[in-house]
Amino acid sequence: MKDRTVYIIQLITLSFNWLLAISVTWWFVHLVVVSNQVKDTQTASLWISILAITVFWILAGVLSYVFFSLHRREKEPA
Amino acid sequence: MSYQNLRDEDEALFRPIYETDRSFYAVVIALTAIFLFGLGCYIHQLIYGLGATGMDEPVSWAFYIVDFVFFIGISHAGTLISAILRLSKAEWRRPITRMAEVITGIVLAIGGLHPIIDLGRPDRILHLFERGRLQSPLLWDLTSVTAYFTASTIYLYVPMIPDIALLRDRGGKLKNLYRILAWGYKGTPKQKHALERAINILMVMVIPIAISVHTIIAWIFGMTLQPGWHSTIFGPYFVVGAIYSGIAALVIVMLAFRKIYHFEDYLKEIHFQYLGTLLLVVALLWTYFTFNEYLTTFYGHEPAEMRVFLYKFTGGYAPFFWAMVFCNFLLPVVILSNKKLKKIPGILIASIGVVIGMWLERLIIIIPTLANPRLPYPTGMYIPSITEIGIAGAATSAFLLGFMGFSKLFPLISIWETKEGREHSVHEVSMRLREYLPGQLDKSGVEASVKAEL
Repeated sequence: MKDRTVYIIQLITLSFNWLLAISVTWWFVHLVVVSNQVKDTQTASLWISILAITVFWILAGVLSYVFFSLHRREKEPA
Repeated sequence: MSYQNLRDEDEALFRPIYETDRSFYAVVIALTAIFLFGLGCYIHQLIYGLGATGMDEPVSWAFYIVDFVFFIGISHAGTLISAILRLSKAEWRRPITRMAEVITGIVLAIGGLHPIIDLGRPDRILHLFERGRLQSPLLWDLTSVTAYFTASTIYLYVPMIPDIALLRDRGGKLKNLYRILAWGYKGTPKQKHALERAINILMVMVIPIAISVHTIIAWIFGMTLQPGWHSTIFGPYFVVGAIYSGIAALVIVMLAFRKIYHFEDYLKEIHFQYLGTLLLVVALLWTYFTFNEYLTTFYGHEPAEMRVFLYKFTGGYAPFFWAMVFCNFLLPVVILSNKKLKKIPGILIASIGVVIGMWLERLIIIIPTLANPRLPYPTGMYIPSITEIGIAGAATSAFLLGFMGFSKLFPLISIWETKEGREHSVHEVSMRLREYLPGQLDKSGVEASVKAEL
């Protein structure tokens, strides 16, 4: 398998994590909008959403940090 | 630490990946048969509905929810214990962490499916995405379990990258898979630093997530006004129970794979002794919470609460209740507090007892309350059907199959951490000890004196 192909597959697998983070964010925003429409309590929804969204984004961020750090080419010694 | 040297040493840890004997296949076939039987049971339930189970009014939550709480509890073995041991720099953690993290990943996937099985009609889960109420603990539960699963999978994967890189460099049939998963790791100082940084962030994140998961599961019960459930200590009580069953499951898995793959040189008696001590401490903590929970109920003597209380102590579920007390308190405390008994066979017996006892505890919490609701309904009785028993069997065999499958792809003991421990730990621990002691030099002074001695 070519290096380029391997890198693309790795990027696709990494993007799944971002897809999850974005989906969770979209879902929570949707639920807050629904609760607003039916005049449900907002405080709990907002706090839980902020907390959950942050966790998923940090996790995706940490994984991306590892991915790009491992792929960064190190400078050859002069 | 030389990255290339890692290949030659610790060869025994690679052996399970490349060598498979007949007994392995025999076990896989037996477990697959149990799994397929359970799958058949589930298809039967899909066709005939929840009528195929033993659930009825008023007992509308039973085996599936018991197993859900139990499996999620077991998941605390891994990430939480591994993260705490890493954070506290417990050196004896090195051969333990990987297995603990694998347990978490697999049981979370299995446990998380149980509420969907319990729904009867799995398509109804879509309502939760479309019209779920964020105020409901059920939705918090879905979110926290998903977050925990994501966090623990990443926490399993990131520390595994150096070992995957070793497998990639060894070649073989799965070389391309390892190339993809190794993320170009070559063991350079910058790469090591990035991994260490990520592991540090993850272990700090994973602990509150793990605690929140079981607290929220406890709230599903505790936030109702049902007798036996409406309790303020349910959150910490469930977390302690989860850690308790998690350690016991970890000990059983470690002992089983130590025997199968001859890891005696890595998983030594001392590791089990330490885990045994940890198990004893949590056993006493669990007993303290249980005593608190039942004493306050008995002292209040509220009629609805007392119906549930007596149902557990002297009624239909008394045999399970007293079996739980025996397995979770008497057996582990007697074995683990006795020096002569606290050997590997004793620790194994105590751990098996705790796993059984903790499953019974989940049963004791869920069924008696539903069988004796606050409203004036007649007392119910729950007997599981073959469908539920089959699905429970399938879940257990899926866990074992998952673990065995993992052992054929990746090392069950972290190779780079073992090597790192061998090369740096003695020096590091010696430094740390000298810093603790009174009348010692500052950090740089201690480092200079240790170097001079070496």
